[in-house]
Amino acid sequence: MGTAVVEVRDITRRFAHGDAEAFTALDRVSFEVSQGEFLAIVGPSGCGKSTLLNIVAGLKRPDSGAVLIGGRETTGTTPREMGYLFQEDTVLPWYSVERNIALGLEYRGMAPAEARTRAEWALEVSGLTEFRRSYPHQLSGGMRRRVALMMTLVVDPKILLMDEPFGALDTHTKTRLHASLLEIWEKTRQTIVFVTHDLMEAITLSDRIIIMSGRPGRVKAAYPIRIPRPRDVIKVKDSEEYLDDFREIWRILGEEFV
Amino acid sequence: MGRRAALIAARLALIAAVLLIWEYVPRIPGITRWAPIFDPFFISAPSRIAAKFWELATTSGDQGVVLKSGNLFVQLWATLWATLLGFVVGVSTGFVAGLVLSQTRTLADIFHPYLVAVNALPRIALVPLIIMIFGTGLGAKVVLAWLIVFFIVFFNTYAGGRAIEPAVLDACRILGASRRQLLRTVVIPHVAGWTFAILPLAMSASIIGVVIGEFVGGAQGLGYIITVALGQLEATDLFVALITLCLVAAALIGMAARLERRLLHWRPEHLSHEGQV
Repeated sequence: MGTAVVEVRDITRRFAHGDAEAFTALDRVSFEVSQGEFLAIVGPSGCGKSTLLNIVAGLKRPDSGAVLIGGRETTGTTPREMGYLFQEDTVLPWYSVERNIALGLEYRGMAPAEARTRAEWALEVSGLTEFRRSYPHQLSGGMRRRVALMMTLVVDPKILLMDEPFGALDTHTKTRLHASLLEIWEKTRQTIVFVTHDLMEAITLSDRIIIMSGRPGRVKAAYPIRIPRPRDVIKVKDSEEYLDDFREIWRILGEEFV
Repeated sequence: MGRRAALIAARLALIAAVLLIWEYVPRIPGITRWAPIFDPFFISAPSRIAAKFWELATTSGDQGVVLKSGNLFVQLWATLWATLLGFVVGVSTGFVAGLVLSQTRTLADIFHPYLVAVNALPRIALVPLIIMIFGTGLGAKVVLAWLIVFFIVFFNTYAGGRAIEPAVLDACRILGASRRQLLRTVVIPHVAGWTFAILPLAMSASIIGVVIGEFVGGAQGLGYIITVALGQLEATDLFVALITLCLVAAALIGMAARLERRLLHWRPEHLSHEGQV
């Protein structure tokens, strides 16, 4: 593996719930993500994976520990090269698909000609060209997720954080989005940190899976996925490697249920 | 016959039935003994109202006296103009106040309890004070309409401003939005959506404010005609004013609803209204 682009060092985060005693959501969590790696983080709900991602993104501060992006400490701030795809629907309903996708370019003040080319690429690669003038409410849930994904990717983030981005979708729609995501990523090769509770999704997409334990959230194990790329998101689920990985990670996760 | 045509036919039949009953039931001998409401003294008659309406609308004349010939339009215009002014001033000030307070935590914390208290006061109780300050003309009516419209718009806008999904703001910030860009592309469109959604309600509130103003302190307007007609026990004049007011109000509220649909074309609920009668 290449050099570490994201370093998470000893992150601890506690929450106080009213008068109740503070509970520890994240307990000395450390991991690294290499350049161009697709890392998935799985764990039972309430293990603090979303909080962890928000800390990496600089949206929340840890009680102790540090986040380093490209060797520079960024704890509590969001570096420009970072993209974030939220679980929530973040597409702006008052703008067309086209305008939504170009929004990041507009914010970053890209020259109009260049921005147009870039937006065209995003529409093309996501299959949204024919819906460019549609408004979000005219699209299906899967299509809106596609728009959200392209809004994030259009500014070419070097590091992409994804917080259960396809959690609310049905299996069919989810699988199609997996295929799109991998197809784009094979070409762009961002460093991705992908949080999910869906183990099948994690194995299908990632190079390595970090398995977290619940309450307090700790890194329980890191498990490499060696399924060769490019992967076919449907066929991969039939392969020996996939099934072996699934069984093994399920066993590790299963210890959490006892 | 299509559904739409059948619907229109049914509506016409309904109004025709009401008019026929209104006109002819009072002519049944002895009816007012067991149903005094059918006395034309109270309810006039459609034929008389129509004749009066026609007279007032077509002949010109004496402007000084209420409901002498020709001045129905003068009165109508007085009400219409005050309503539109109250609406525009109320909506714009309510929007700005709601936007600013929803985005400025400290200001909101200071102002909010007072706004709730003032809003709880029945607006009609303020009429004497407003007439004392603004007299009985256009000013008083507009201020009264503004007072009602402002609070409706303000509270809705304020609620909208506080209901922005934090993830949307975070997502746009991470995409690189500056504070100004965030305001222009996210906060204002979102908040304006909440404001636009109550434009029809704001319009009807403005009409209420103006008519109350005309009842109590007016020297002009449809509300004034109503009070004068009451003083003279003239049911026909009363109905002429009521029907005119009803038509004006329906037109104004319809206009506000069209404006709302136009401005909120990006909202799903308005697509489903298309093609309705």
